[in-house]
Amino acid sequence: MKSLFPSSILLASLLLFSCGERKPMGRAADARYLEDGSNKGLVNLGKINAQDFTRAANQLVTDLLSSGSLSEAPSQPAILHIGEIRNDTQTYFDTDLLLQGMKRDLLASKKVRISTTAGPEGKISDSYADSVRKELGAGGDRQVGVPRPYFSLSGKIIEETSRVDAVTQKDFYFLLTLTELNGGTGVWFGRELITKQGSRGAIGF
Amino acid sequence: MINTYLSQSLSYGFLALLFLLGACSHKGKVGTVSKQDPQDQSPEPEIKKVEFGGGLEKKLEVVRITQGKVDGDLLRIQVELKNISSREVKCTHRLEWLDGEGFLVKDTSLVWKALMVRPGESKMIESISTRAGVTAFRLKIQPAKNP
Repeated sequence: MKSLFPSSILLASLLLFSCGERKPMGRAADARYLEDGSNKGLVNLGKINAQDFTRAANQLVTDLLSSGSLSEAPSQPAILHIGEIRNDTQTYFDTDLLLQGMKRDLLASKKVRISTTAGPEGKISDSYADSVRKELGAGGDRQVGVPRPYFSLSGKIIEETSRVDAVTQKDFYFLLTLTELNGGTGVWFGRELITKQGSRGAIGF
Repeated sequence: MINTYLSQSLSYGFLALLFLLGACSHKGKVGTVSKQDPQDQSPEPEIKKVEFGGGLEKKLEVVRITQGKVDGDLLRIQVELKNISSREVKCTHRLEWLDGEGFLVKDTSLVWKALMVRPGESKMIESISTRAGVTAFRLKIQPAKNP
């Protein structure tokens, strides 16, 4: 009967491990899907993770809408041209990871329409649409309108690194500017900062 | 003697089981704050419930929910949270917008954001819906994984 006490400890231990998070052991498969925006995604110190892009896009759109700048256009919804967003960080990524979420939200708000067939030096979102429009325009089709953007959105993403002993801090600045084309002046200056601090990456936050 | 060992073993086992069940019950629990009436458009809508998980109900308090409109049709909300504990609280929160029919709006607000509140400090969580038809919201709060 003396063995009952160790048995109860063993039983408790088994229950403990059954309640705990599943962790890979040996060669056990542990690949899984994560939902968009999950807080269980990887957190890397040296790069911008998926949740960082979504958070930055959300904060910038919230700030832009609350500023009321888009409502200043004489005709609503105003046409917005998306200009260049420069990636000045140490890692390569497509800036559409930030912009696509912003475009979706801005369009859904019905405060702007976004031009996809106009851009500097031929840099346009939809080259097929642009070439078809040019052909139709050359043929005298009057249904082909020429969108005249009232606003232009441009910006850059900057990375700053600081270290104290073994702790690293990465600051990622998302800086966007909304320019009113008639006056040629900036009417909104968005700034979103994402800071990460630690000695190594983590799973979840 | 045998009875003593038996009763001791069972007692320890039972206590361990209770402890484990209590510990496991907090895992993955998410606190929810929402309005009493989803259609309530008043500037300070009544708080329906505060269901904080992971012990957050003892640390955070919802002081008030304020709401208004931007450009006449976009719902804007602000939730004031206060840390009523003596230690700083690190948590994550996510806002869900619901349209007039109760459908979830899928936009960039569906992302977990980190928040740190010092003892006695109040912090605001503010956001604007990007859809004109949005009438309600849900704010989910849970403890941070890496405190």
